[in-house]
Amino acid sequence: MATATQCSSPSNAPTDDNNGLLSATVIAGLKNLGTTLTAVISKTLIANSLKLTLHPDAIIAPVPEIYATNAASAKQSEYAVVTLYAVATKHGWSSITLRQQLDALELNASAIDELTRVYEDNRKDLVLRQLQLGHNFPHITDVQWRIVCDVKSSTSDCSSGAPHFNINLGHYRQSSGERVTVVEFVCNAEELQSLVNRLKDIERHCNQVAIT
Amino acid sequence: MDEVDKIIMHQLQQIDDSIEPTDQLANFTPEQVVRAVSSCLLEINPSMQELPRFLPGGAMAQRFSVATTLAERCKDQGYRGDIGYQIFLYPNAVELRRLLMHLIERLPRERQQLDLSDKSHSLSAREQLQREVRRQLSEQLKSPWVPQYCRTVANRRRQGCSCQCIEFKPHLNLNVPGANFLDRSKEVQQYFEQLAPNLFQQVDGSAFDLIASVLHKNDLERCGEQVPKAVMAMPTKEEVEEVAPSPAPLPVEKQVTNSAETAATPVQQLTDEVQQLRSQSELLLKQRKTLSNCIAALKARESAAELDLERLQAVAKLHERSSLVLAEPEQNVAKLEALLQATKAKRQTLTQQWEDYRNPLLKTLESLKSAKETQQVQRVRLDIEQLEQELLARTQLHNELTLRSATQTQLAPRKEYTRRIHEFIGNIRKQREDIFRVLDDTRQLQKQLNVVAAQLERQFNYTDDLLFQSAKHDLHAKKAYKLLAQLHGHCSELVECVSNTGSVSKEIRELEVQIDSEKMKNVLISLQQITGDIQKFEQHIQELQTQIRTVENAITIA
Repeated sequence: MATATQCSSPSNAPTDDNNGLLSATVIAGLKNLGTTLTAVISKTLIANSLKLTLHPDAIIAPVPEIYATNAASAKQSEYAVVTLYAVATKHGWSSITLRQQLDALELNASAIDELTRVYEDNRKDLVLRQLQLGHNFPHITDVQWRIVCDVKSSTSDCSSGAPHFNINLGHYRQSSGERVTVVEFVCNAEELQSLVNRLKDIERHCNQVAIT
Repeated sequence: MDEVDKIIMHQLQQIDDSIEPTDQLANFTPEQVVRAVSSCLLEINPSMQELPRFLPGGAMAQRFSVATTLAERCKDQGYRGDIGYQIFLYPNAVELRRLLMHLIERLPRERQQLDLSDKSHSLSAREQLQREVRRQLSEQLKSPWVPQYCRTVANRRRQGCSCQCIEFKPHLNLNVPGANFLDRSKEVQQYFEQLAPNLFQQVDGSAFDLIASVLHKNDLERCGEQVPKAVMAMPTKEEVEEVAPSPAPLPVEKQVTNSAETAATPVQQLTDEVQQLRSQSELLLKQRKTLSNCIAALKARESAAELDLERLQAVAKLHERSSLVLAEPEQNVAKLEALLQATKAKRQTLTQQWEDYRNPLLKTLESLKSAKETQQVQRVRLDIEQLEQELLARTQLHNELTLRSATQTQLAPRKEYTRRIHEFIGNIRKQREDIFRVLDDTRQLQKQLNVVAAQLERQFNYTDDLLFQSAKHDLHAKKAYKLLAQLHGHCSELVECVSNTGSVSKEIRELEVQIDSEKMKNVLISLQQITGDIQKFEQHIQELQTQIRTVENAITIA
C-alpha cells in the first residue's frame, strides 16, 4: 500500500498530543462530538459512519436527523470519525491506545467511550477493509487463448500461413466479477514453448525453495 | 553414465563416510544400497523414525522387511518410479541410478551453505526473511486448491492470494468544513449547512475510495499546515531564525494568536499579514464568484440569443424564397405547374412499372397458395380414408370377439367341473382314511388274538402237565387228561374250521369280484359267438368230409 502523501517525518511533525497523526480538521470534528452535537446524535453519527466505511458498496438508508441541526459540524465530525478509525487501523492501535490518544485531545468523555467501544467491536472488520486497499501488481487468475492466422496484410495480398498464439492473461475483479485483461500478446509455438519452460522453471524453483 | 555415477558417489561420500566408493553403481552391493538410501532419507528428513540403517545378514524375512520399509519411505518422499524390495535386494544399475538421483536432488541445500558459512553468527534479518519466504512457499504448495472467487476470503489473504482488490484512489479535493470556525464566512457556513454534500456522498461510486480519500486529506492537511509556515517564514532570514527555534503547532491557530501577543513583533506582523492575505483572498474569491456568476448569466444570454438567431435565420430564408417566387408570379407559376406535371407523369410511370412487376408475382403467389391448399385437402382425404378402413377392421374384430365370448358362456362352466373333482378327491381321501382305520382295527384284533392264543397255549400246557403228573396215580385224573386232550383237539378243529370259513368267505368274495369283472366283459355274447363259429367250422368239416367221400367213391369207381 502506498500513500503518496505520506510526507511527515519525526523532525517536522507537529508536537500535538496525538503525535501529529490527526489534522486540525479531524481534531475539531472529534471535539464536536458530545458538545456541539448531542450525545444521541453523536452515537448515531459514529454508527452511521462506521457502517458506510465498512460497506462502501452497500445501499444504506440515509439518516437525515444527523444533519437536522448543525449540519456543518456533523459533516466535519463524520469526516473526523472516519479519519480517526482509518488512522488508528493504519497504525494498528489497540483500543487502549485509541482511548489514550483521545484522552490527550480532551474530548467529551461519553464521546471517547463510544468511539473506543465501536472501535473495539469492529476492529477486525476495519483491518480487513483496509487490507483490501492498495496498489499492487495484478494477480493473474485466468488465461484465454486462441490460435490466429493472418489472411492478408497491408503489404501482402495472400496469407503468410503462419499460425500464432494469441494469449490473454487476466483476472476477475473482486467486486463486480468482470474480467480485466492484464496483458495480451502474440507468440509463435517456439516462443510459447520457451515461455512455458520458463514458467515450469519457476515452479520447479518454488518447489526446491519450499523443500530446502 | 560414468560421470553421473561419479557425481552420485561424491554426494553419497559427503552424506555418509561409511559408504565405500566404487567406480560404478553396478558394483554396489545390497548392503551398500541400503546404507546409501537410508542415509539420504535421513538427510532429507532428520525426524524420520525407525529407519533401518543396514541390511541384516541372516534371515531372508528380515532383509525383505527392511527393503520393503525403505521402498515405502522412498515413495513417501515423492519417488514415482517403480520401486519395491527388489531394488535393494537385487540392485539394478539403471533403477538404482534413477532412485539415487531423485534422492540427491531432494537433499536440503542449506546443508551445503551451513557447511560453508560459519554457524556461530546469528541469523540476519535478510536470512530470516528468506526462511519466512521458504516457509510460506511450502505452506502454499501444500494448501489445497481453492476456487478463484474464494481466494480473498478469510485466512487465504495471508497466503499471498490477491487481497488488495480496491485501488488506492483518493478523492483529491474533499470538501469538508475546516478546523477554524471563525475562518468561515457566513455564506460559506450557510453553504456547508445546506448545500454541501457530506463526506460519503462525495466519495460515492466506484471512482474513489473512502478510506483512501480521508487518509489522503488528513495527510495533506498535516503537511499543508507546515507548508505555509515554511513559505511565509522565508521572506527574511532573521525572521526564519527567530521563528525556527519555536515550531509552534499551527493546527490550532488560536494558540498562535494568543502567544503572539506576548511574543516578538515579527510574529505579530506575520500573523497580521496572514490575516490580511486571507481577507484579500476571500475578497478575491468573492469577486471571482460574482464574476463567474456574471459569466454564467452572460453565457446563458448568449446561448438564448444564438437560438433566436437560428430561428430568425430560418424564417428569413423562407421569406427570401417566397419573395423570389412572388417577384415574377406568372412565369414561376407556369414553371411550378410544369414541374408538377412532370412529377405526376413520373409517378404514373413508376406505378405502372410497379404494377408490371407486381402482377406476375401475385399470380404465382395465388397459384402456389391454391396448390398448397389442394395438397392439404388431398392429404386430409387420404387420412380420412385410412381412418375409415381402420374403423371397419376394428368393428369386425369387435363383432368376432363378441360372438366368441357368447359361445364361451354357453359351454359348461369349468368351475362346476373343478368343484366336482374336488368333491371326488375329498371322498377318496375320506375312504382312504376309513380303510386305514379298518386296517388298524384288524391289526389290533390280530394282536389280541395272538395274545389270547399264546395264553391259551400256556394254560393248556400247564394244565396238561398237571393232569399228566396226577394221571399216573389217579384214574379220574387219567380220564380228565383224556377229556382234556379231546377238548384240545376239538377246540383246535374248531379254530381251524373258523379260519377255513374265513379263508373260504374271502375266496368267495374274490370270486364274486371276479364274476363281476367277468360279467362286465360280456362273456355270454362272446361265448355265443364262439359256439356259433365252432358250429360253422363243424359244418364246414362235414361238407369237406362229404366231398372227400364223393371223391373217394369216384376214385374207387374209376
